[in-house]
Amino acid sequence: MIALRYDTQYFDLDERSSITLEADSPAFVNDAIPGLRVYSFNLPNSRNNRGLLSYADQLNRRDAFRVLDDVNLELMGLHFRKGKLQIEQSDSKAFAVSFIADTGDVAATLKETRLRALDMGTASVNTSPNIASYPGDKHCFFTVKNPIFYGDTNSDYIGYVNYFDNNNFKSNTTINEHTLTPFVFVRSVLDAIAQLIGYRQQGDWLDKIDQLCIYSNIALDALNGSGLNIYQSNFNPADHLPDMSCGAFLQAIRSLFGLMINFDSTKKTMEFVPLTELVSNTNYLKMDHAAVKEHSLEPYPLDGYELRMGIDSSDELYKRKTIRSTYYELGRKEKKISSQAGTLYMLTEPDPRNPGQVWTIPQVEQPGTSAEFDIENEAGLRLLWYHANPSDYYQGSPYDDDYDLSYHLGDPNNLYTRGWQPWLEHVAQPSVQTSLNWRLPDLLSINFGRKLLIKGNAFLLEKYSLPVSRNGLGTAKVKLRRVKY
Amino acid sequence: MSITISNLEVIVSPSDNQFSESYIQFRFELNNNTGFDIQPADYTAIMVGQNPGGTSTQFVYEANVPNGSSETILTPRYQTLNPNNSLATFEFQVSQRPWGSNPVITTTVQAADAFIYNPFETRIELENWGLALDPTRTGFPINQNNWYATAEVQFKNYFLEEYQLRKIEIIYDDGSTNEYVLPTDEYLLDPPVNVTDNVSTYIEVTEYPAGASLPLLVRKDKNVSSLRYTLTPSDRWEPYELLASPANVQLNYFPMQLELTTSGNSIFLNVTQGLAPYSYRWNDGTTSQNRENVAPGLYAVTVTDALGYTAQGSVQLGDLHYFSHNPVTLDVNVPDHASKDFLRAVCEVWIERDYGSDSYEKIFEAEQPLDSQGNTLFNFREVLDSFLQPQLPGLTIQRQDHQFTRFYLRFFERYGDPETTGGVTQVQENMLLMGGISELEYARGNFFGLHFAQKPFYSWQPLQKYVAPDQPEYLLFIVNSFDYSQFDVVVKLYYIQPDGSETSSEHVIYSRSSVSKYEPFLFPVGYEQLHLAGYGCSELDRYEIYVKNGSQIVSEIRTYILDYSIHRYRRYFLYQNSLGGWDTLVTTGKAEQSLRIDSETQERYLPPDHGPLERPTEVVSRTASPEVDVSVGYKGKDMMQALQDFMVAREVYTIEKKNDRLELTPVEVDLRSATIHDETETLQTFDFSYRPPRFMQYTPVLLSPANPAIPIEASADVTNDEITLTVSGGTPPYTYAWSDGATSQNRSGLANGEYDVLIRDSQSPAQAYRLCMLTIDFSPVVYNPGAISFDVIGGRYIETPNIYDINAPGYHFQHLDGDLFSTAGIVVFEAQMISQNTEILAGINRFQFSLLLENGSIIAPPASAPLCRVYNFSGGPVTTYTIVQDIDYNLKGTWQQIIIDIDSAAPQTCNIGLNFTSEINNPNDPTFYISDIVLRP
Repeated sequence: MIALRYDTQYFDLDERSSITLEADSPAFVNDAIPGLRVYSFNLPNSRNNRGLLSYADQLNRRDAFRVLDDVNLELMGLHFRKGKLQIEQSDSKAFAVSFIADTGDVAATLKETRLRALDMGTASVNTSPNIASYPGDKHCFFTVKNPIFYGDTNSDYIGYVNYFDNNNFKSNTTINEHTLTPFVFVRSVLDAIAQLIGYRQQGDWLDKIDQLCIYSNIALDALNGSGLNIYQSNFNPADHLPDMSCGAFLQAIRSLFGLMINFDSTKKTMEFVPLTELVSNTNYLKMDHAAVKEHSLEPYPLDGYELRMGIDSSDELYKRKTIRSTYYELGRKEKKISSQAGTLYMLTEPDPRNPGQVWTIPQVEQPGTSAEFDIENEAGLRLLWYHANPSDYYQGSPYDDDYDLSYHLGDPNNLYTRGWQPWLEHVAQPSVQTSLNWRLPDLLSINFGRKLLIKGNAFLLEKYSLPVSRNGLGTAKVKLRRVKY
Repeated sequence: MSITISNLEVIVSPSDNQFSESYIQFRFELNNNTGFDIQPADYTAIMVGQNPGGTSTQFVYEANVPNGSSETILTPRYQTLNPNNSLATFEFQVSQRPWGSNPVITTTVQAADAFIYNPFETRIELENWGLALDPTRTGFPINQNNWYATAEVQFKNYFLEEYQLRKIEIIYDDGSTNEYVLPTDEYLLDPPVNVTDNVSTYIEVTEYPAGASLPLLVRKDKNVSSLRYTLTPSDRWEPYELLASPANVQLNYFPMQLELTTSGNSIFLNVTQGLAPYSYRWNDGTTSQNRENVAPGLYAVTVTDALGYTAQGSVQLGDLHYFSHNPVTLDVNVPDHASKDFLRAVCEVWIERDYGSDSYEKIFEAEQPLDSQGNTLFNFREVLDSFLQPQLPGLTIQRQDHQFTRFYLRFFERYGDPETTGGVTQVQENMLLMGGISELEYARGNFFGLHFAQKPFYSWQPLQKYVAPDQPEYLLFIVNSFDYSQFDVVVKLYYIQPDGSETSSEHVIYSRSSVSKYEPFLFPVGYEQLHLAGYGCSELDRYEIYVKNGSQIVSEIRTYILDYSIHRYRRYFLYQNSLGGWDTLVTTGKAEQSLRIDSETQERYLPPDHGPLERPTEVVSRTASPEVDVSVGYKGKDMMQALQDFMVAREVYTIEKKNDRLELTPVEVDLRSATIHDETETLQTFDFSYRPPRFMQYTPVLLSPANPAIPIEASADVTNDEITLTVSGGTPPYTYAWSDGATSQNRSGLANGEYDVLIRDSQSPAQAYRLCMLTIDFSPVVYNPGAISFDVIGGRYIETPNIYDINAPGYHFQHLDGDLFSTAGIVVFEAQMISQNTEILAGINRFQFSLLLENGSIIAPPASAPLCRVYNFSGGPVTTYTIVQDIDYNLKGTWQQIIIDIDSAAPQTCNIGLNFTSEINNPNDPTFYISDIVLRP
């Protein structure tokens, strides 16, 4: 009933081998990207297994590998999961191995790889106005007010990063009054992550964030022989990303926007599904045939949520002001959903070089990073919308082009009302613990994004635990969330 | 003295649509300067086509060409059809050559490249034709020594050659256009074409566009409003126009997509994309698109499209059905797997919920990665198994619709980013039957390799089985061939006659038509179920059940030997065997019913007057369930093997006969307590226990006839050549099946013999046992035709009247004493036929009145008078004399005479006989007879 296959060959399994398949819905786990599934097997130390594991049990096999990639777990003749096989221990009788499935095969990579280590190639700097657009461009520029970027190291600095005037991001001519910092598109980063793990990205949601970029305080400074900052002409976009792991980045995006990120190790897809789509999805999977009578109810804790955006601790502005828009509180704030991602505040003021012109630009009070000026300060993940507006000052903001969506939690039309509220209201229902007699097709059809219809009630699957033995599938213990239709 | 051909011209008529053929003709002028007149049939013009099929056209010109004159001759049309690079040869010869010598001339006409395109298929190109680019040749001399001229025409199938992009036209916003006529030699579509115009519009034609997808455009350029390109090998091609316009035009070739679908014993191939027409080549050399009614096996096809691209696909045409408890697999291979990113094999499972509806529902889709060889194996056993359910037997034959389903597996590839699907699609239709064979047997392949060829009934029961008369038995038959669509289930009855001999008779008990391969049919075959205890069957020893298509037996033969032994304890259990059929377990051992306490609630109850010897507790409630322990009784070794199926059966019912009904009660067999006695013991038996249902539930009942109190009864009345049946009981109307094939109730005109008739009532064959079997030993009582007397008219009485069966043709002699003829004189014999019936049916019945004289000779009488003279009674040979009289209705009761004139005085012994024959027998009216024969002195 259970089979482990490596390419064309099957491992010998103990007759009594049994595993318990477990999974948590990525829709209900707010603080991590779930999916790391480890199943332990004892493989008999048979001739076949020894060969497949390259005699890892032999004392003299120093170079025996520990991990076997692309191992397939099959249930009753059909493929179930693809993953890694990790040899934990071996003796003369058996190999103790772990089969790491689902995101298990990429989780470590995502966790261990920093954004700055991503292979993003190089980008060239063009200060003359040019609409940057993904995917042709990986970054954009727009003016951000940051009076303390250089601190005391550059007194000529006028207090604005990417100062824009007369259709130009200004270069320095005599003194280092300007600086240039690229803001990398979120999608370019996601592309690089997908490439890193060999997955494809899926989801219509991606097309909506083409213009979303990541604020950076790492300047492109390059001093020439006479000490004039002439900027780098080519650079690696990854160098201008916040110092965080790819996993943390995905998690921040997920929590900020209210997404479910599905990793499918068979299809090699990383799917981004807004939770609100789960609410509106009326594609039910009927499961009356599997339902058993007994169940227990766990009332929904109706004591509210607290949603928080990341606040960059090195931003003095945030310390001075109470930024109401970075969090959203509901009821008794029992549950916390927080994202490392934040955004910038906007400021409307006269352009200091052209006082007749009043502009609205993002502002920050945060020391910058510039090797040339020997300053270093890590900034957190902050997202801004690039308006792709070549002749206007209004080029970057926490609002989308139509002011229709604010990348704050607290504003009207904010991420809470758009991304979270329908979902949180939809799932404000009791949880049900019950058992389901799944047949193999049911198990293989499980999709956490699809509602189950059991005896007239709609549910979303929160988690399941299903023992599988030589005799077939056992009874699945499931936790279901009652939802409205 | 010469013949010349001048103005030889080839007329090429291309077809203008795909339905007409193109053809060629030759026209030439024949100049006769031979000195004699060329007569009709003197000369022959021959056109020989080497392709197709080497056909040739020969004609004889029917005209005179006088010496010194010319005649224009137009040959018939030569159909070019679809020749590819073939030659047609034109020959001209004069067959009569008065001046003698043999011509040794094969002048090949030199070529001019006159060609005309057939836009659809063929370009006809003249080669070896003259010297100049002039399709018309003149002055073609044929002299005395050269009587023979040949022109060769080359046909080229242009379509199989390359295509050319001839012209690209770009239309700009301001209306101006730019046209690129491409040099034909350089811009074949493969390799790609790159054209750059002077406003840096870049046009790239990478590959030839495919079929309906043409044209394809990619991106709009602000400067160009449209682009038009012309594809040509000829001007007959319509230019295709692009509606919007590109900076980059990519004309993509869409590779062919093959879909191979198996259905029954046929394979259907569907090709999309690529460029039609396609040609097909299968691994066995066949070139048709579809393969219908073919043998099972692996079929691989290579499809070539009009551009020469090829695609390969293969499909396995199975000759087996699947069992639901065994793997249902599809093994697929993707040859070019290494070149496809993110490749997965996708297999959809479609089943037909209503058999025969042809409406399939997709129930599952599996997506699997492939291994390093590009292989993957799908196993849908778990997916499909749950769609089948056990189906109880019925009262008559029934198709077990719940126990099988048609399904198909549709495999295709999914790959790429963005994702696309395609490759070779395989659709394999198959049949899934409930049941299964053990893993070991499955792995060995014995069942389908050996067993299935025996056309088995799906049961492991022994081929010869002892059955009690009231024992219900069922057989599951699987239609095992595509070759028939109708079958009869036949019972062959073996009787032991009182003298110990054995007779047998064969009867159709069920018939089904419009059946298809793998359909399972279940039918009852028990003795009582078939009502074999009908009339005339009391001596039944055994019977065989088999299935026939026409005269051919298409199943194995199962023999049921009747076991009339009496057992004190006899119980029947019906269970579903591992192959999906239903078998009966007969137990003859004792059974014991006991109550098993499941739970008990006790209460400590100690009243003040509680005595020390009393029980210290009181039971408050107790639940128990009945359990029956059954001892199977003695079983033979073969039955013990067959009963392994019982051990693993999931569906077990007890059968009880109540008021002519078979009641089935589902029970839970507890085999944990089954005791299987060791084979080494003499007594082969086992015990088991079962639990009757704890609560009332629906009990399946196999009903007897609607009116079970009145079974069909029949009796036969046999008279003469007639059998008259009297039938009662059952539910009229009745139908009759005679052993000789007749279907009427009553029979007549029968020869002696044994006749069986199976009588069914209106419930039959829905209720198969409502029938009655009658065997009639037909040796009919002779109808008394009345008195036949011999009398002497006016004379003395000769003989006691005797009885003759006039319907048994032949002589019926009456021996007369010899002293009749002791004196000479006239003797008149007279006889008549009298009908007792109201009428004798019209028609000729020959009444022959003959005289046989054992000694003597007969002088034939004149034809006018039925009189014979008998002379020379002394020692003559045995002689007969016959007068023949046809009797019809009007002659009945008419006296017929034989008058004998005896001229010998010597007393003689003779026999006088009467021969009554019915030459045209009228068996339907045996009621006329000979009344009297009198002898007149």
